[in-house]
Amino acid sequence: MVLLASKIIKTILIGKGNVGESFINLLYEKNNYLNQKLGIEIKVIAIFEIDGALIDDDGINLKEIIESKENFRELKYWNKGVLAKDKIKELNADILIETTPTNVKTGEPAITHIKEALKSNKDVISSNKAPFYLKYHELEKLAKDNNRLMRFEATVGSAIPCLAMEELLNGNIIEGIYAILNGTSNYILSRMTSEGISFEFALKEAQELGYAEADPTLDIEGYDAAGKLVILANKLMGWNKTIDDVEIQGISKIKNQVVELAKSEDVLVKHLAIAESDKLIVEPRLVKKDSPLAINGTLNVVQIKTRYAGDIILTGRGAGGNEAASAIINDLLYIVSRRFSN
Amino acid sequence: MIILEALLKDQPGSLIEFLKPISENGGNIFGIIHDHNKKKNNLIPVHVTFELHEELLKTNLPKIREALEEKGIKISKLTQELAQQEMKVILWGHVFESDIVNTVKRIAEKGARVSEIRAKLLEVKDESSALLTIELPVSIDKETILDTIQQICKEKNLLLFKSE
Ligand SMILES: NC(=O)c1ccc[n+]([C@@H]2O[C@H](COP(=O)([O-])OP(=O)(O)OC[C@H]3O[C@@H](n4cnc5c(N)ncnc54)[C@H](OP(=O)(O)O)[C@@H]3O)[C@@H](O)[C@H]2O)c1
Repeated sequence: MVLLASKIIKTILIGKGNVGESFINLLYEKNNYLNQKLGIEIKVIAIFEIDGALIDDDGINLKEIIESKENFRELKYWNKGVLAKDKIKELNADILIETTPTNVKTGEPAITHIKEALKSNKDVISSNKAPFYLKYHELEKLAKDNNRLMRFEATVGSAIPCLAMEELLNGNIIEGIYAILNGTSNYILSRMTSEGISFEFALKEAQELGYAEADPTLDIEGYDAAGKLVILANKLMGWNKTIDDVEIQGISKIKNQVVELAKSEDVLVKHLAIAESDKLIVEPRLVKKDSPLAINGTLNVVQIKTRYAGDIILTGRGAGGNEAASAIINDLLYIVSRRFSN
Repeated sequence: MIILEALLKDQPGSLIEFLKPISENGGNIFGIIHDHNKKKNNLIPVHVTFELHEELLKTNLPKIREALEEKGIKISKLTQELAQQEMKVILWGHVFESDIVNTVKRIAEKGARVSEIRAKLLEVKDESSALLTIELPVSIDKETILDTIQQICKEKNLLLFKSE
């Protein structure tokens, strides 16, 4: 990548939660490398929280933010009550990074943030998936019409580069996707299989270990996996689907008897997300013990069925702040290479 | 897949003569076993597997038989074996109370055969799980059978676990 000498790239971060903070830490850690190796300097000129924003047009001192921990609201450039939706347009930045919580019904406030950015000459990176399983094509069109780039690798499988496969497999044809996209439900099924415990018990265990939310509905009923499946199918196969197109069946009704019976035949019950023949399905399925989909614990796996090279399989940790942050940095470098290299 | 077995005279050219009617009638030969070790009374057993397009089965299979018999070849076997595929599903719920015989029959009506049922039972009144092994000819699409099973499960309020 040949870049113009020491190019400054200005970014806006929305959401300073788990992913947002991991991004700040990772960027701080990597900035030297980016500077020396690629000749770029990534500056964060604004960080929005739900109740205000840190803004410094010259670039926020990341070290200071990291050291201030929860007390960032006491910093002199904290602007109480200044909200992202009102401010995005007027800020002079190249890239907006969206990491607010997922709103499964409306996709807000992320959709508004993304639209505002695209309309005001900013490329977009998001770890928030709701906008892309609710309004994928509207956003893609808006990006295209405004000649903007939009990347959202962290939304599916966190650091697993599954969306990047669109470009990497350009010379092939992707015909189907089989995947496990939710670590919580995979953890529960894995424990039911290995320990012979009930669904309820395995769920409690997952909650105690921090793998499952207090309200685990989205994970165990398949909604989270369905959203990610929509994004995968739209991005990798050019489909035009929303989450309403997915036939979803959760795992909460699975009894241990079923898991045991399967096990005695060397098959495992897995919560699969399947995109094939114009259909999107999330449901428990029987998977052979030696199948690449037979992964355990909180891991995710994406099996891409290609016309000319058979199956291509990606597996890894599908969640976590650092994992998501590393995907965001990758997206950032992708945009930089497209926009600012000679 | 068609299996043809016959006894051939041990003389040059007899195998070629034997295969001619098969290829002339559109047969696609997959394998030939011509076992000289089993020669008896100067006759050698030969075992041929070949495929004949579905449309040609009715008309050309009898033609092959006739042509061979005209050549004086003794046919010991000529059968059509359907290639089979297998799939497994698990059902959960009142699998037995909801009339498993009916379930098996309805799958059979669609051309598939339940060849094995393995079940975990608690009490008869309780829900149970059953693993069904289903055999079907390759000419039948698995999805059609699965759609039928899905329909049965919906009616009988059973949970269905398909294979990957
Ligand atoms: N964590 C992961 O492993 C992971 C992996 C991949 C993708 N993601 C996705 O990435 C997003 C962020 O995840 P997370 O784990 O970082 O969640 P999080 O810890 O809840 O962080 C979200 C942050 O956004 C802030 N926020 C809420 N509304 C806002 C608004 N209108 N404007 C500005 N900030 C706002 C929240 O503030 P308050 O807390 O004060 O409300 C919070 O600090 C989610 O959409 C998630 O699904 C997460």
